[in-house]
Amino acid sequence: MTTLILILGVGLSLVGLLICMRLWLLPASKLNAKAGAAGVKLTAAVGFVVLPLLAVGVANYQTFEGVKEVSSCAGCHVMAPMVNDMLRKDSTSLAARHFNNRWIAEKQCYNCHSDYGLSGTIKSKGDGFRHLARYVTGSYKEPIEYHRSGGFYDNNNCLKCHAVTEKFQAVSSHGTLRANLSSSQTSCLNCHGPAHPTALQRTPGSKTYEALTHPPLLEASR
Amino acid sequence: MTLRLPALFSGLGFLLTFWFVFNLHSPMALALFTFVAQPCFLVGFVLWLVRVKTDLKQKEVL
Repeated sequence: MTTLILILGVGLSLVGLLICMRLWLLPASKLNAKAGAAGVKLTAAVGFVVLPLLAVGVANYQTFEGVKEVSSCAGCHVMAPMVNDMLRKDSTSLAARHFNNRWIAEKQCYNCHSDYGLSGTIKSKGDGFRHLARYVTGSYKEPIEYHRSGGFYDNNNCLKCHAVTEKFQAVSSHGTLRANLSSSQTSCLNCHGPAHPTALQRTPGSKTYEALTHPPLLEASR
Repeated sequence: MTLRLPALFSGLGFLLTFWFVFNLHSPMALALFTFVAQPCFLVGFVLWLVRVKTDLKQKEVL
């Protein structure tokens, strides 16, 4: 799919650029002339309406679908400690165990960080745009903190897969705490965490920071 | 009145979109596409609409 997006995106952008250059170079006399006016109008409509809509559609498909990949998360260096830890075979963090045991087959970051349902997914995208703006403007401080849903992780991201399993239901405390777990008042991470390296481990200058940020393991894992 | 201004904005939009599809996992390319290229397309479209409206007024269609 990525190749198709590349071909379509490049093709549409290049044709659009050529049309814009042509319209840029068009003299005012030609615009006002009656002869050939229909051709100019058609070219302008294609260059200012049709091609931008198509190009934006193709590129946004990548924005919404492509960013679900782990490699997209790894693109921002603040995510390196999380992604590198997840890829380590010797890590015991929750993310690493899910990744290395292939409990989640693909799009591991997105699967645990999109709240369940349509509105959750839209909220995730909104958060993504906010994170993107903060990342490119440098308005963040490491170690990054979790602010979603008032600062706590929504258990429904876990329960959407685990709640229906026999193994989950066989644990008596899950039944006792069911209401608290559903409302995220009691975090799954209290017993099953940590999900990622701790804030202390991710603090620049700490002993573990260098090891967690270098080398990037994502390429090697492919 | 020429079509230079809408062509400039749309052209910039296409240029940034082109860069984004070549660098799909680059945060900067994604940010420029999201926060610059898309508004550029919109501005180019609006400027073109203004040009069309002016044209129609001159021809006394509107």
